Amino acid sequence: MQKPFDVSLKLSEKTGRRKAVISLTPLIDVVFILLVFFMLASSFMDWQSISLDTSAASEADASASEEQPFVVEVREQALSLNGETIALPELIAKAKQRTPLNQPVSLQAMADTRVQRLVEVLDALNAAGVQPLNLVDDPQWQADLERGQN
Amino acid sequence: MHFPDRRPDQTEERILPLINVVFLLLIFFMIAGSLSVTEPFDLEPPASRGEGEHEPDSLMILLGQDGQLALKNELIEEVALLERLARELKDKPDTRITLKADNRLPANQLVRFTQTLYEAGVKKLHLLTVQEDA
Repeated sequence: MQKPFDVSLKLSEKTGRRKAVISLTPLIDVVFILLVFFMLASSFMDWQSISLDTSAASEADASASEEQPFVVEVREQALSLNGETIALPELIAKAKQRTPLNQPVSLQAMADTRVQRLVEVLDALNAAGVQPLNLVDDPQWQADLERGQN
Repeated sequence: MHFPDRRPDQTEERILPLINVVFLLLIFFMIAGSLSVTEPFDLEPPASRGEGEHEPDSLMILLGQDGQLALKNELIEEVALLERLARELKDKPDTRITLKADNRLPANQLVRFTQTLYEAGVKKLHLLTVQEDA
């Protein structure tokens, strides 16, 4: 008959040895691979969003028919208000003095204006507190494009 | 005779700070970075100084430089996209749609596309941009 005391003594002897510790090298390998994966796969883009809600746009359309519309034509190099070329600071000043103040400011992208340009103008007006803003397309655009292709 | 016994311990101890740092970096990248999703086509969103926070749990529509469309990172034709959108909107009319458009796309195409979306019954539409470098 064996005493349980002896068994426990043997076990503690075995686990007490330095060799039983997991070797570090494979662990470091795995952690490095994980690190490299997360470094390559993660992105740190700071996303923002600009609201283009319908509610504002449709209300704006309804009131626009009554008064003279405040239409800003956005081109790649220049801005024009109701047909006259205007600089951005003057445009902001004019937009702040428009009557009535709830009249929508329509941004009309002309011809081949890029999205980036439109967003910049939208940003500038937004930052100056000009509201409501409204996006309008250029009715001539598709025609221009088709003429260019033919 | 103690010297040869100690040596393996010492190298182990020297590696420990390295492991600590690597673990910290690993945890930093896991928490701070969001896994980037590869898009079906090349897309550079416009930069803005915008103020709106992006809500990740909205329906994402991609609009590429040449007018390619993708819904949930899958290429799709406009007709099929509008069909699927109509189905989604039937279940949840308040679905928030995020439009990720390329910055080189003609703005007219973007404006016209938003108009088609409004006609399809989209109420909450947002244009995705990246924070402009100051």
